[in-house]
Amino acid sequence: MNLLRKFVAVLRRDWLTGSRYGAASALYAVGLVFEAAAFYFVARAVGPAYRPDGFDFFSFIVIGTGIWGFFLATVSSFVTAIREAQVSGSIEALMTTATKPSPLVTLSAASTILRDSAQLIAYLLVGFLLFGAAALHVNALALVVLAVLILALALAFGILAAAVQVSIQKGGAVVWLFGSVIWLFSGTMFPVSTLPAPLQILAKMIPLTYALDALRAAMLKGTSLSQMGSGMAYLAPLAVILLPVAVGVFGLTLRQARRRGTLSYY
Amino acid sequence: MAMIEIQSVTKIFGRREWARPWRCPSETRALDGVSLKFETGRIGVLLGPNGSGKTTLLKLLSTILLPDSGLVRVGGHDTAKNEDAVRRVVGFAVGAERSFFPRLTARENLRFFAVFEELPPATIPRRIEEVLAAVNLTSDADKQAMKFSSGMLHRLGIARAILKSPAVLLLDEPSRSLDPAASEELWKMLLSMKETGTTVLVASHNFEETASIADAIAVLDHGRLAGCKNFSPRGDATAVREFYFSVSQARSEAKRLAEAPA
Repeated sequence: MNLLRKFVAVLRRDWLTGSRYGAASALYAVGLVFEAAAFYFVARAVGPAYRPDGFDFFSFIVIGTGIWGFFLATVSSFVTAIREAQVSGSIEALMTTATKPSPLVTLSAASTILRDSAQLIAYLLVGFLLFGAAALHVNALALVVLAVLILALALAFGILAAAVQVSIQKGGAVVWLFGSVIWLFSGTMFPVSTLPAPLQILAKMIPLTYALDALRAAMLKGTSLSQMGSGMAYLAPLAVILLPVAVGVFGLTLRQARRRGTLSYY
Repeated sequence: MAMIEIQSVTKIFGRREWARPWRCPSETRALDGVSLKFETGRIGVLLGPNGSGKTTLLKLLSTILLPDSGLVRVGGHDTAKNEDAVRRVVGFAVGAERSFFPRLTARENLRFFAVFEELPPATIPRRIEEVLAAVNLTSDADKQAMKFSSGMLHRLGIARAILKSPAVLLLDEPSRSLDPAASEELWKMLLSMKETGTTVLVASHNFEETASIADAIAVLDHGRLAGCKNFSPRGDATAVREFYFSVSQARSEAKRLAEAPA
């Protein structure tokens, strides 16, 4: 019950802050339409003959870039929450409240994650409805399970990024590098099979590669969970293991920062 | 019973770390073997020059920092082993003025922190009005924090610290940005909190403030405890001043002799 009240308090805080910044959210929404439009014309320029992994190119890109954007924004939201608390000086005040640090950090990013989720849905709707990507053939159960797994992985990587921010105050740079690597290797814009063989091995180590393959199949071909095979066998245990590991690592770095006296450094 | 107990505490900043051995930071011994006790329901004042370790001591008590050696106990709880229990009993008015969400009003900021302090929901609106009144901010409660003056932010920080009616209240130079009338109001509030059993520890540079509120004084000098004593009668700033300079000078003289060639 306390957790829910805190969640609502964070949403209220961020809603009030956002509403007092004027039309920033509306500008983000308009930006989504332009982004989808750009990929639509890229796909038109490439032509209908190109069908990566058997999907039409525009659908391939919309799902790839949408999920990549959501994943990275979620990871980044933790660093932003910590950094803003460090810059505003509220981190020490928050860390002396009755709330434990791990839920505190997770909750701090909650409204950003909700906003990212809404943006992802809006982006996919714009792509599939406004610009007429391929007809959807969705397996709802697979889509829900994959969404939960992707969210769990994003939370885990986000908490790890928050740990980097607390530890060496370079969380933003690490997230930028992380985002660039998964952009290139996870099959966001082009199929992984296009990469040279040694780099394909690296691509197969990135969870988002499996998530994108599975999600495209679940959304465009109606593929069920049981048909997804190795991808699910990799994603599900990874999500289950990585989340508590990330919370543990964050707790250790927080303790280290309290020992070094660097909690409010930025 | 000792509500605050500090035993042989040492805190060093800038230590070389195993994770970054190439860095050679210069060490600062912020606290060096400090031992202190403050009884329940008393007001203790930490005096000392800038950099003497007063804020470090308050941060150790509030769990923001961990000691390198020694033991810090608040309400019988070890701050290194049972930090959750410590945070439930400690209210800390951090010295930094920038510790609020600038676009939220004072009332909205307090509401946010009240939820994170896990106050019962039904009591929150009444408690917020009480603490706003206690620091004389009721008429400014709907102003955004970014529009507050330094003194108002300081008072809002104190309001936040007393939200949960803490058993131990830690204040870092509470009257620094306050006008004389506001300072006197604050001292009255601290004395009334003491009457209800709250233990208060204040870091200060102000002899008048110390004389007005202190039951006990501890003087820190270069991270070491230079002296401490129970203080009475209340109101004698000259006595505080004399004690402060007697122990500070004694420490300086002892240090000078220790460092002098044989």
